[in-house]
Amino acid sequence: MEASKEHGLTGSPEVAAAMEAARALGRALGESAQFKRFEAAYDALQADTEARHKLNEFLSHRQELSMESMFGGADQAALEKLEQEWQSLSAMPNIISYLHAQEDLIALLREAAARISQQIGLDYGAACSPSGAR
Amino acid sequence: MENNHPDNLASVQQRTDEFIEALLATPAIRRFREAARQFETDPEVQSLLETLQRFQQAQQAGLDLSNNLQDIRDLQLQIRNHPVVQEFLSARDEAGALIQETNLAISQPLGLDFGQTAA
Repeated sequence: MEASKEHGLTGSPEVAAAMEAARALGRALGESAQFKRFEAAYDALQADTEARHKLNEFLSHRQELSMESMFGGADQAALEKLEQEWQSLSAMPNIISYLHAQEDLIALLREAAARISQQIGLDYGAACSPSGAR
Repeated sequence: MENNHPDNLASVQQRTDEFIEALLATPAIRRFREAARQFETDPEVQSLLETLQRFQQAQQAGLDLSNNLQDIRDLQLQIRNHPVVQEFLSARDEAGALIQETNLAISQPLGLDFGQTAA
């Protein structure tokens, strides 16, 4: 990363300590029950061909519709069809556990990020987004 | 359920707090916090920002003040060139670069982007 060299981010002992603390946090998150459950649910979903197929179909239809609504508006029938696809998807056990596990994991990550943002006075997530905190 | 296993939660919280402590000790974050404090308390900067906000509100409300656009541009330029603002923006960039590096380190064991998932 150019900017880091420019500002001498690497090399100072405080930065080295912060990087080590970041790695330790990553490991702790990786060992959390939420992350383990998410991984297991992800694997189960990957192994469930029918659920995966339906999910991919739903996601691609949703993407199409969101493009259409950006350029004028999607029609009602397509929206209803998408809603039906979602109803049938969200009744599948592997999808249910995946979504719950994902929700729990995101809650854990958000809580950690919110704590960091609040203490340092800078939005951690926004600073990580492609456009940065600009 | 192991979902809310206290050891896991305590460990994540503890590691989060240790990470925050470590971040707060870095020159980049210390510089950013000082720059942010200056930015928020500098009377000149705050008065420029308030004026800009008034102009923009007037514009949004459809009040077509003459020279309004030029005034807004002048103000934006004044704000951008103000030393306190320049230091704030530069410090924020430096802090942002550090944060992005730490985010890579946090994300690596997870196989997902911590910062963006939490955003």
